[in-house]
Amino acid sequence: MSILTDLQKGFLFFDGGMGTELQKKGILAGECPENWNISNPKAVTEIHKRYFEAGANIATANTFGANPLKLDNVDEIVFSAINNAKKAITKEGQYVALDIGPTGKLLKPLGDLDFEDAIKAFSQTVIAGTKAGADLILIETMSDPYELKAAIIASKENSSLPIFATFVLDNTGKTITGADVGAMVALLEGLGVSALGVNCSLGAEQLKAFVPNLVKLSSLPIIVNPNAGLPCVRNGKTHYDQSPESFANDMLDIAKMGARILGGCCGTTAEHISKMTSLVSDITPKKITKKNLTVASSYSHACYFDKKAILIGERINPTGKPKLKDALRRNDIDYLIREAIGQEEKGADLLDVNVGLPEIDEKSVLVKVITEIQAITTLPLQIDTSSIDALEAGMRIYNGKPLVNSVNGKKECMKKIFPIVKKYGGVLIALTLDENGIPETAEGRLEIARKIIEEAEKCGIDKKDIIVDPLCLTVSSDKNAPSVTLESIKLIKSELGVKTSLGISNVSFGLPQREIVNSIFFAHALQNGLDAVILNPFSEAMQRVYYAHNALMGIDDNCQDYINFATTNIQVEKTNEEATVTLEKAIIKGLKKEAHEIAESLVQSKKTLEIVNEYIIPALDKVGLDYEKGKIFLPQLLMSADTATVAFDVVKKTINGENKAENGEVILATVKGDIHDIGKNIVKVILENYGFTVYDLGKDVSKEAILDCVNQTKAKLVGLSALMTTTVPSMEEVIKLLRKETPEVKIMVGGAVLTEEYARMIGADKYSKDAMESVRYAQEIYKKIAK
Amino acid sequence: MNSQILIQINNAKDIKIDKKEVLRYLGVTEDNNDINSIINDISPDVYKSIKFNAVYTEIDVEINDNKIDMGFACVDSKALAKNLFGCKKAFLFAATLGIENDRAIERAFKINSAKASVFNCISIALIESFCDYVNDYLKNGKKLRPRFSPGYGDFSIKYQKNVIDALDATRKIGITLSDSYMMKPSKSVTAVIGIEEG
Repeated sequence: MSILTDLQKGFLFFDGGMGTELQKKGILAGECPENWNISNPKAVTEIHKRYFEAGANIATANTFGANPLKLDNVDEIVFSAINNAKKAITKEGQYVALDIGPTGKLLKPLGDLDFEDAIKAFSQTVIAGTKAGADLILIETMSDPYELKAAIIASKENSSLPIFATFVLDNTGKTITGADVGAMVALLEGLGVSALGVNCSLGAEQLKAFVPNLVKLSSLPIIVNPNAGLPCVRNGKTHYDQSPESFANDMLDIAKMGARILGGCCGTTAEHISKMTSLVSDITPKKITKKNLTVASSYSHACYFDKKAILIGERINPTGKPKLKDALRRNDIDYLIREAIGQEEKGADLLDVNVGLPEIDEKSVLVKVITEIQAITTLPLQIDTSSIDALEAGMRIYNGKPLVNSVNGKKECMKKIFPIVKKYGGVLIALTLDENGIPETAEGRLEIARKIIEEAEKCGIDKKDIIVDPLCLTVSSDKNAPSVTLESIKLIKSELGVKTSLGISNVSFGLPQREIVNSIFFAHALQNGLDAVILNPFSEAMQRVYYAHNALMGIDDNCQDYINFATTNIQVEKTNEEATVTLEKAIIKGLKKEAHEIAESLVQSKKTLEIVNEYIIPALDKVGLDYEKGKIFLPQLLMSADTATVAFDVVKKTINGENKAENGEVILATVKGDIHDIGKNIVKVILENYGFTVYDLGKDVSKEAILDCVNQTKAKLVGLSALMTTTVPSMEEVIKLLRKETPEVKIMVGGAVLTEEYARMIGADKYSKDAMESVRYAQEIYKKIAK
Repeated sequence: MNSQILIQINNAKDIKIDKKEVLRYLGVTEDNNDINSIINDISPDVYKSIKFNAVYTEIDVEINDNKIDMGFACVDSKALAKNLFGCKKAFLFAATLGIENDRAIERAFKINSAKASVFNCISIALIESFCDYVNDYLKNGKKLRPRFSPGYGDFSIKYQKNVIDALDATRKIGITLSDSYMMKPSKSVTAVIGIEEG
């Protein structure tokens, strides 16, 4: 008998807390609970036994903290823990779960634990537990969806046991890293766990509030393992003191709401479990229903393809965008990030990410771009690539459940893409074309869509995870093309019951004033039931259609979105005319809009170098001096720097890639082990504004990476930053390595813990106390070289 | 070991921004209208990025010369021994603004570094105010010593790990520690506060 067949039939019961029971058996504060598997195996088995006697079906082995990042003897601990639990089994229908808790580390990019290292750590526990004979894997008490994903990948790659996964919510109904229930459900269902739910943190009474939403969103059996109430303090000691009776009553309510797997966490005892199992066993479990929600997710929230069409921002795609191409070639990820933020602010629900350029390593760039964009935006992403390698790498490190662009009806294509999507979870855009091209009729496109869906289902990918793109061809070359597309949307939706998506702009190719055609076609497509559109969120014509359509169709309550859209746009048209602002003044005062306008008009009449030398540089010099004299302060220095960048950008456009009066190259890095980089970022902004090309290697950078960059760029100056005394030694190591390998390179250092003296001690050439001092030093170095 | 009690803030605005402190962190030494208006403009966004969470516990301390036995760790620190001198009990706490605040700061740096630097300094001021709030909450009529954190003086930063473990602060409020003992969320504080006898 397997646990999954039992689950089909009725309730399953987890055990209660392990920690409190071990305390009763005499474990001391600070003692490692997992070591008791080896030092006191009998005591551990007894605890499991009591829970089985209380009616639990699943013994959670005492392996919560058994991962190699916390403990050395993981294999031995896991082996004895599983055995201790198995010894407690007395009859059929009793199972042992390998218990996996969080590592306690935060993953990159915000923390320092590499995603692959996390997978490796979890893998060791999974391998040991599977070998020892566990019946299932329980991944629990997770608050970071990314870490949860790493644990699930480790489980899937090293074991075929069923995976149960539970996460922790706080009283706002989100995880501590900001993920809501929808995001967690989308991620976990995408990854193919067998059951999901919540545990710890709150009592049954508080968790009850979140159960209906879980049941509503998920098609899987729901697990609820609460604490015995909220902790309270008496005489300086904490107690979880919800009585077994009251706990059982709450759990009965939770079972009636539709939860299928019930147990306890901190503070719950065999009495709690016993009362719960006898109460709950009497009722008939609610049927688990399939929800058919088409959903993509980010680390924070889910994006449902429902009544309102989903806007997919198309701007991160090099096709036809020379500036973005240039940014990709220069590895200027910040440019792409600004595109992401801009589109989000314009109301995009989801962002397409395509970095395919023949001359770059698409796989590594895609991974980097996805990671960096996910660090700063909450929007889900659409991974858009024709490279299978890049797709797999991108889906693996994506934090959430992405959209995947795209599969089509070609056998070869389906064969390659389906297994990847099945493994990592995602929603697939399916293009209605195959070996024979794009059918001319709606019926033909319907048949390809049908074929793709059938093949996907054979690979275990559900129809709800397929969005069909019936393709949009150019009206100027085929007058019937748009109506076929519109008809296809309708037909495919009604015949197959799937969602549809479309890239609109192709329709107007070759015509003047394309936005007119695009926006009207968009309106027709929406009217025909289109569920998602790939567009430029900055296009006001498209936005007008979108917001007006939603208001008119009754899917914009109180026309709120429309009103917001319409009124913000009117405000923008108000111009505040300020007389006689010069470019110099605009930079000094940090007036970006004005700087942009004045620069635009100056390039009509003046040469680039003139503008730079007569306006921008003098303004920056004045600001720099004022800062050094204490007349202005850091935010103002930065405001001027940002404003100068705006002016530079306008001017640069006119010189088309010619040399832009560059002063030299500087490499910046926050050293290994250091994950704070605010100071370094400030230095970067200011250096760039004084005309230096900055190679920003980011934070937590190895000495080898810094040396590589020195060798590749021939920069003469390296700036290193460290915030903590604990990371200054890695700064010293970088300096040693550079001195040995590239003795001609100068090194400046900075950061909270450094001083002039400290800098000298570790062998740096220069201690820069702030950003301006870095600029002055860089100027000095490159002036000497010029001579 | 006593276990760990959460302190949560229902109304974030109860934790006030100390503008003077923000200016000090920014290196601003005289009143400046431009910067004041940036502070006012972005304060709402800073609050939006924050989830104030703290956890504390009460511990017994035993001091012998420079060695302080705190139950969960034995610390060798002259400065801490001096700070706790005469105390038999202490509070141990951790407080944080949450990881969304880090994301918001990173994001701000990608679009507007001036605002980002102010955003960062307001956040620093707020974690300090929050610590003061926790301090007052714990005081409750008692006489408390100034709070003392790992990394102050000769109280080694390596004890950060013991403190976070003893408070179960990773699970309870999401504070994690890097290999080089940096806390993430970066606007996080842990500290020991001596409780005076009587």
